[in-house]
Amino acid sequence: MASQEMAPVEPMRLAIVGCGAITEAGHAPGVIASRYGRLTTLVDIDIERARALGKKFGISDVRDNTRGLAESVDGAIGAVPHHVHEAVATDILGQGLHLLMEKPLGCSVAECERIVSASRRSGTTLATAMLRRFVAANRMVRRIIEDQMLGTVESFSFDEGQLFSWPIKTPFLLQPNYPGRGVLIGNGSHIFDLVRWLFGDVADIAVSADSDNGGESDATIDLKMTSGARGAIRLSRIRALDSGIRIRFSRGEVHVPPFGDDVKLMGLDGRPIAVAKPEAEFDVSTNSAQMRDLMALQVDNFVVAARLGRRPEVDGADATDTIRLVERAAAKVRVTRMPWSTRGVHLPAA
Amino acid sequence: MTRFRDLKVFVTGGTGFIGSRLVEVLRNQLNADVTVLAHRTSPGALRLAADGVKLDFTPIGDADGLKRALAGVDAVFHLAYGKFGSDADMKKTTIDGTTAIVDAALAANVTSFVNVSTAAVYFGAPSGVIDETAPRRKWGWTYSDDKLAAEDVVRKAHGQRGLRASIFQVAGVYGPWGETFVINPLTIMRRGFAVLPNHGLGVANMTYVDDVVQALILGLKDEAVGETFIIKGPGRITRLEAYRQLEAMLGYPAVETASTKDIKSRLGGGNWSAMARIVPAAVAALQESKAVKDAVRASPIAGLARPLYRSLRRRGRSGIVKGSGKAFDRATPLPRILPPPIMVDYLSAEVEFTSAKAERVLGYTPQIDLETGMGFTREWAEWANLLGPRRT
Repeated sequence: MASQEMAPVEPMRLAIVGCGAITEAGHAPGVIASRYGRLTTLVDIDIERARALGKKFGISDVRDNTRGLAESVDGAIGAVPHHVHEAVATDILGQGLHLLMEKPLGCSVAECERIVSASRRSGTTLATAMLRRFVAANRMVRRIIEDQMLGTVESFSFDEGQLFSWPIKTPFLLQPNYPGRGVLIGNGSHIFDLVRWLFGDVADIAVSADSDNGGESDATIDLKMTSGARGAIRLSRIRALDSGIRIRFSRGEVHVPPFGDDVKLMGLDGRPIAVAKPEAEFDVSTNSAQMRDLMALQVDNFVVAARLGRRPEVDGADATDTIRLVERAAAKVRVTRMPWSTRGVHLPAA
Repeated sequence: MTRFRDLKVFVTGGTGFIGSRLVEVLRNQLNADVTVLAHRTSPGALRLAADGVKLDFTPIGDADGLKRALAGVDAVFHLAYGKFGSDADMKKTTIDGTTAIVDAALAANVTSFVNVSTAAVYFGAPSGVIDETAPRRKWGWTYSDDKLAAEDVVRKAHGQRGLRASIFQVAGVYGPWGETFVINPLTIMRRGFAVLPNHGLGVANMTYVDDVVQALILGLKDEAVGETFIIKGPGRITRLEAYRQLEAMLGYPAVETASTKDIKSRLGGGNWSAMARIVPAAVAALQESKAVKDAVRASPIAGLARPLYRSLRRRGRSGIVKGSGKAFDRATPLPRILPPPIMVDYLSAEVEFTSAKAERVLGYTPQIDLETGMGFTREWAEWANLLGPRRT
């Protein structure tokens, strides 16, 4: 992180609202490891789950609701299922608490705008958890693009695919009519955020996916950027892709593994030019790929922004623009059926 | 046979390999009204959700909940089995789960209960052609043993309580999304050489998943009630022939054979020194599995798991190569990956199953030969990124 973001500030008492898998694996360890966050309260409608995490992380203040939260904390992290983001976010912001909300900020632009309005009304800081922005390799890539170290960007591709194994505590991703369940908004909100952050505005978008009901599990997206660059994105929860980013510049290529630290710079002939170690430049330790440390960076960025009245890494308006892009993508979905699914089965005298 | 458009179908195990293909065909080809029992957010469940399939989240051990879920259902396809956790956990899901679903099916007075089992229950039969009259036995493979016990639950419910049940013992099922005969071997072969016992002469009884689905749907016929059917694909396919098809997909040599005795000798008969070789072999097999890597990466214990994984991976590399003897070329750096000890005899067996009874009674007609089925599988495997770059 840039050093000015780490200006000393008063630590902030934080509650985590939602005690699912991401809180156990990331948010709680992240706050505890952060410089300026103090984890004091855990909230979950499943009080036993909150108690279990409270015991694990040494937190005695566990609750099954957010009533009166402002009496004991100054800010909160929202980590609840997507479809209740708006309700939880507006409640927390309405109590005058600063909020770091898990991505996606909301399930629609309209939801996001209501959340942003709630933040404005209460005069609190609203940040959105876009963890990839804190990955050192991604920050280095941004510098390479901004400084035109390899010329201008001609094309890029993102592959993000793995067999879904996240130990989520509720099956909301499988529930029909639940907004925010598909891969376009799930993984896509990360990738679309990075696309906007790295390459600017999208001029045109085409999407093919296995569903247009909002629950797509596999999607391929073709982008034309206003810069003229072309982009290709593959998102999947049902196949393991060789995840990472590849960028072709006018004078070379860059390959970035999904959470790796090494950024490979190559000439147009594919020969390696250099392997960059972002941690040296950005003072992020070699285990920057670990979720806890990334979460800690994110928490510190949030607390510093709230304390000093600065813009956090991803504010509400920024996160809303990403959801706007997700909505554009969802509106363009063309359903593609695979031959192994549509091939008929012979049924004798059936 | 019932008109499918009017048929209310409940499928357990519908998020798995065979079950998800069955669901596709029931819904998209036959327009049946299908509900699938789902218990976790797996890739298979996500695929079904994307396709708009109705999912029911009743735990398979919740007898009352299942009775509610099956109310008004005409037919049940029961494919679920325990795949995760301890042997006791798996037993609970497979056997107790079958009891619960059978009770619910009886309460709902279903017209068909199609129970999917495995032809592995005939393990130990002498070489030659085997039909449903061969003795079934438990032999130590949890999956097969529990499926056998589940068969008995279904048989008893038919015999004593009138459940209109049939049992389908499927063999060597492969195709898109298939783990045992597609994903797992390809994963091993991308990492090194799969070593087949009995010089690859074991009979694979390969059956393309669509032929299994054909048979299961025929299981709705009245003639199926009270009967057990072995289901296999066309021809007599050896293990080596099946693996050669996968090798051809990859485009480089990835299969070796050895005598069963050789392999058993290398595995060491279950003592601790053998375990020391088996563990690295298993880890080596998993190295290419992105699912494993992703699971480790996403795991709440990633901080602890990663060094352990790396350590095991190193052991996997060195263990295999150092452990190689004359039969397994020491000079080649790629690992030779042996089958798990319990599967050596199973993979060696020259037992060919016959589907003659299903053909005679139900009109089952296997359609997809190995080459065709592997062609279909290949187009999926390419999409699934399973053929990957050549090993280095």
